[in-house]
Amino acid sequence: MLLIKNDFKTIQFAIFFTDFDEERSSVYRFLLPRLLTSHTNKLINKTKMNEKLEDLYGAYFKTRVERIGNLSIVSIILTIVDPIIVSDNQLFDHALDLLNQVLFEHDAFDKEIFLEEQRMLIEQWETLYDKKRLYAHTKFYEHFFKDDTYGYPMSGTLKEIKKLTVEKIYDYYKNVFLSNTKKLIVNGRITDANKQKIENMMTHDIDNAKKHSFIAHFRPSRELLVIEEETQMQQAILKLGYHFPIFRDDLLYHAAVILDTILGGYPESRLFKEIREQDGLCYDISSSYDYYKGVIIVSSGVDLKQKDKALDAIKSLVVHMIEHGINDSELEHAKAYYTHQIKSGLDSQSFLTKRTFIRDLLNHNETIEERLIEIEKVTLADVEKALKKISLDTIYVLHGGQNDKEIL
Amino acid sequence: MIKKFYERFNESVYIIKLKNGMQVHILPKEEPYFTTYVELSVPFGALDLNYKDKEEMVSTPYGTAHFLEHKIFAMPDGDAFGKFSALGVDANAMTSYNQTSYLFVATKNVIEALTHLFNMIDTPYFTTENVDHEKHIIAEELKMYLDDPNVVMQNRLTEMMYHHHPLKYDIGGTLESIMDITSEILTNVYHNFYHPSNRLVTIAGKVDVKALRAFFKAYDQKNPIKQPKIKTVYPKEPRKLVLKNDVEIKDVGINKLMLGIKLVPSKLSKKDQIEKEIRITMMLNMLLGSSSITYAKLLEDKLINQSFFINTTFEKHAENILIYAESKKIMKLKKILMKILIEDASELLTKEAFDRYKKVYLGQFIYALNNLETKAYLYGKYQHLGFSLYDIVELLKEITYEQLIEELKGIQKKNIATLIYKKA
Repeated sequence: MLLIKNDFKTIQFAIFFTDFDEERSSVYRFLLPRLLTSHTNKLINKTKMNEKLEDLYGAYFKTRVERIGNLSIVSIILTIVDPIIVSDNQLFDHALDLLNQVLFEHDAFDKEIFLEEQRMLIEQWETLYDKKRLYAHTKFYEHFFKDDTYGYPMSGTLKEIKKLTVEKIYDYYKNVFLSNTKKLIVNGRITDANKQKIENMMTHDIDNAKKHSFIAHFRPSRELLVIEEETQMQQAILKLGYHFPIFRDDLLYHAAVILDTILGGYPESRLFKEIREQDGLCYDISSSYDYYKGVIIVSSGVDLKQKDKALDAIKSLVVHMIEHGINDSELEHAKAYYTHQIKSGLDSQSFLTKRTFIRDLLNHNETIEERLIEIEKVTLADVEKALKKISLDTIYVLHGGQNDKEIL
Repeated sequence: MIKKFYERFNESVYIIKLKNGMQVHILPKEEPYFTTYVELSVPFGALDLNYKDKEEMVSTPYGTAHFLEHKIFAMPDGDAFGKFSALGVDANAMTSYNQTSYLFVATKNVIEALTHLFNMIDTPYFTTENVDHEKHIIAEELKMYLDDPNVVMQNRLTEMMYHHHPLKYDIGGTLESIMDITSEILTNVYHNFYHPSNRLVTIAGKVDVKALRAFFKAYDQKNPIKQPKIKTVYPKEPRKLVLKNDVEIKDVGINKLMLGIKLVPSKLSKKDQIEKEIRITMMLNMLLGSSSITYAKLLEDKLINQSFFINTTFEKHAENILIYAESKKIMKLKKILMKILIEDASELLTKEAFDRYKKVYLGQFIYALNNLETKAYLYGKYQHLGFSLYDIVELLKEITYEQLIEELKGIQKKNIATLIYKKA
């Protein structure tokens, strides 16, 4: 167990289950947290579970499945108010008991609840096309990360969801999930007595020392792949996937982060200033750097009639940046902005919980101070070196038809 | 400067009232803390479309407040974002129905960024060119929302509910209305609603109270003039709906239902209005929330999925409830929801659930205090209504189960509009 002591007004109990990311287990890992937090042996249905959470001053579970390099992480986080503020000396014990039940006290999964969760997941797939941005994101991932687990749906495919049974998922829970590497992180105002309570109550194998070998990897760059898809919509959504083989532990990592900030990480970025402010082609435009996969993805919703112009403008902007580099003030502004983001994150309870987990998972010992020093050390030459590693790999465009009403 | 201390939550507030009418509320966090959140807001939002300027009635296009929010960042020497970024702070802005807020989050250079924020607000720079240019950007913002069926449905439903009230249109206006916005309109609105007398500044997190006090004292000396407040004029809104039911065939994955209840707006004191809002949201949560018998039954009968949500709006002269669901049995769902709301509700609201919900609301209040941005935003919102955020907890104590049952009377069949998107 890792303890983060501070005086936030809430306490977070976060447990992370880590395993290798495999296509065949995606559907289980996606549905499991929903089932675990919906009922237990004692709280036999969702209504009972929700009543219990309400009784604990609106405590709530937040669950998530995410991919970090070659690993799949399932997190289940219970947040409660600080018992001292509500003068309730039973609250902490009740919360611990609930967490214990949710994680470990399931003699079976209720079949009706399973079928309900399965139905809702199927319906989520059936409405994917209605949510154009999410649809575009899903399709882009399919193409950009083809033959890579990143391209596989986090929830498993619709076919797999339909084939799943309550027996199979329970079997996975008992025989695979509970044997995952687990890490418990408690964040908030914790007394020594409460720490002892956690140790006494969480008797299961909560902090096994097993570590997975972490691999950050992506396929080599390939010839540019361009996919266009037409649908009924007002805008065009552009997704540009850039191959950018710089990973979290690489020497150029901090330069890569700064590069991404300058490209499309904030309102002073090149993409924001030129494509939106100068050319007026879009409202939203940004870039995001995945340092576990070594890629940069540029996303924007643009004027339908000017989608080709916008696409060319974005491509030219990146090429220009690769060829001509950046200037001093861009570097200094991006450093100031990024430094601020890191410092500001230290005031967020959820950020601290996640950061503590990642540091433990990847054996990172770098302190915040050391990280800030590394950022400060980044030079124009470092960013230019990083820029040379960018290559355009995949373009995906989802756009409306030509009969849309012209306003401007 | 006044200091207030709320012992239960261990929270302090310093209040500075400037001679020009501006108020500054400082909500410090004890060390170690790194972030400072600054929000400057004016009580001018999407609903403030018509007002009297020197006895002359002025009408502005839908979306004016939001448009002005965008253009405040324009300065003669370029975009204001550049300087914020150079100072290493994260700036943003937002427009709601009743206020516009400009904010930044800093971990250093707070006074410099505050100086820049006031410089930006005090330097209106609206030209024909920059206003026309912004129309393209805002049009893309609106189109982005129009590609979301929920937004399209909500826009259509509010048009079915309201004859004249500006709530019938999106905060950003429409693709047509924003084309009528000019630099002259923005200038007029700016001078009437953005003067210091109308501004509220909320500062939360790591603060140097002494430095802030000096900053605002100097600002007050430079801008001493107090201006009278301009009142928005609202069109008279009939109680009845424009259209009760509508079914449209659409290219959607699953049928969708949006149900809108047009409540009769209350002529109550601000305190009573806030209490009413709490009572109604609590009542709806007890009736249709995730721990309710109704919700469990709807799920069991496969009538709803995880997209089910309830939203309430309590604005000037307009109050409503929206319920949204996706369902493969949409007509059956509509019938059941109508029956629950009109006939069965009083039997479904239990005293036990009411007692639980009082605890939930206290919890939600504490969660809000834990997040700097949420705390400062809510503090500003209630302050514009003449209330302190910390007094809201006290209001909770006064709410009774019987009052919740009484609120059900406001939900009547004749005031419920339904919109269905049927899968083609």
